[in-house]
Amino acid sequence: MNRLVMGDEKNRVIEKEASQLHQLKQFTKVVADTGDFAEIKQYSPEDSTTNPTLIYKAVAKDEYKHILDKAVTDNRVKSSDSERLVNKIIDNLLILFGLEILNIIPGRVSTEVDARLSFDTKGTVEKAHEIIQMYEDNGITRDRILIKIASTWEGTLAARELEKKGIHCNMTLLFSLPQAIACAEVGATLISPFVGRILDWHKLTMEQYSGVDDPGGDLG
Amino acid sequence: MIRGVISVKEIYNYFKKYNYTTEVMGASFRNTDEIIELAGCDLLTISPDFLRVLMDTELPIERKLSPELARELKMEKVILNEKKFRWLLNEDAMATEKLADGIRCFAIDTQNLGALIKTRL
Repeated sequence: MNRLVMGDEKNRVIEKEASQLHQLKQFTKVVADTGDFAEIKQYSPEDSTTNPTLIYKAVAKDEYKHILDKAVTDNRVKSSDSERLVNKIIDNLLILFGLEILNIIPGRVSTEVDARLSFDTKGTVEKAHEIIQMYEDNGITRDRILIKIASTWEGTLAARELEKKGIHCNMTLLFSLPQAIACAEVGATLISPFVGRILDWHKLTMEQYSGVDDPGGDLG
Repeated sequence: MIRGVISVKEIYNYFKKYNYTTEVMGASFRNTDEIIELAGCDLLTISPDFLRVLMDTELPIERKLSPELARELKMEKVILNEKKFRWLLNEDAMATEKLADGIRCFAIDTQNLGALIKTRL
């Protein structure tokens, strides 16, 4: 028997029970990793994750330009300091994407703290509170948000403070067991250990040793 | 087995063995084999391209990870403080470089977003 995933008559998609996606969902929560939220409905993910690269890619598409325009228009008069204004608009843009995604999924969306705060515990905590405030101003409770923080030592200290306030953290850029343990010890809600980028590094290192020039661009 | 897959399995097993409640979500996949090898992980975050492949492929998959299997494994408990964390991370050239590289790349894309916004102000 097939399960109807999407009710939209025009765009009806069937997820077959024999499909690997359906089988995987029996024992693993499937999460969509994208800023391109129009794409994900058909796969019925529980949660969704974004990162600055994915948001940047999404706003380059015509169909999401209106979100960028809204973020700019909503903030244009709020600050005269151009650097602060731009950062404010970036935050607003991330939240607008998050809100759109939350309309589609039943679970949680991950929104990333500015990577330039990766070694700044206090700055990360403040930024996370700002993000949560913006979501709450839009009627979204903090249990549906994961704040993405790089798994540096400073990041884990920020996560400890945030989790005490009921703000859930998704620890990212995680490549090793010690990073994972540090995140678990501070009570982070979730970690995102990276798979593909580990292989990328080993391939690149091997190519360098075997004398291959320019092994190609960053795979992101 | 694929290197990144081994790393995530180790983390998952360690957490389940020592009863950490932190959820484990495998991320950044280069192919669907990596995803299928981690079936049973708490969560997996997958790009739309690979979600499409998984939806269109009708081959059986089996659960590779579970709390029950993890508890049977022998793994040494690691006690961390800041010095030990920094030392162990530095000993791991891959993790050190990929963490640094990841932060740089996300910072660049945030700056790119900023530059794009400036053109619209």
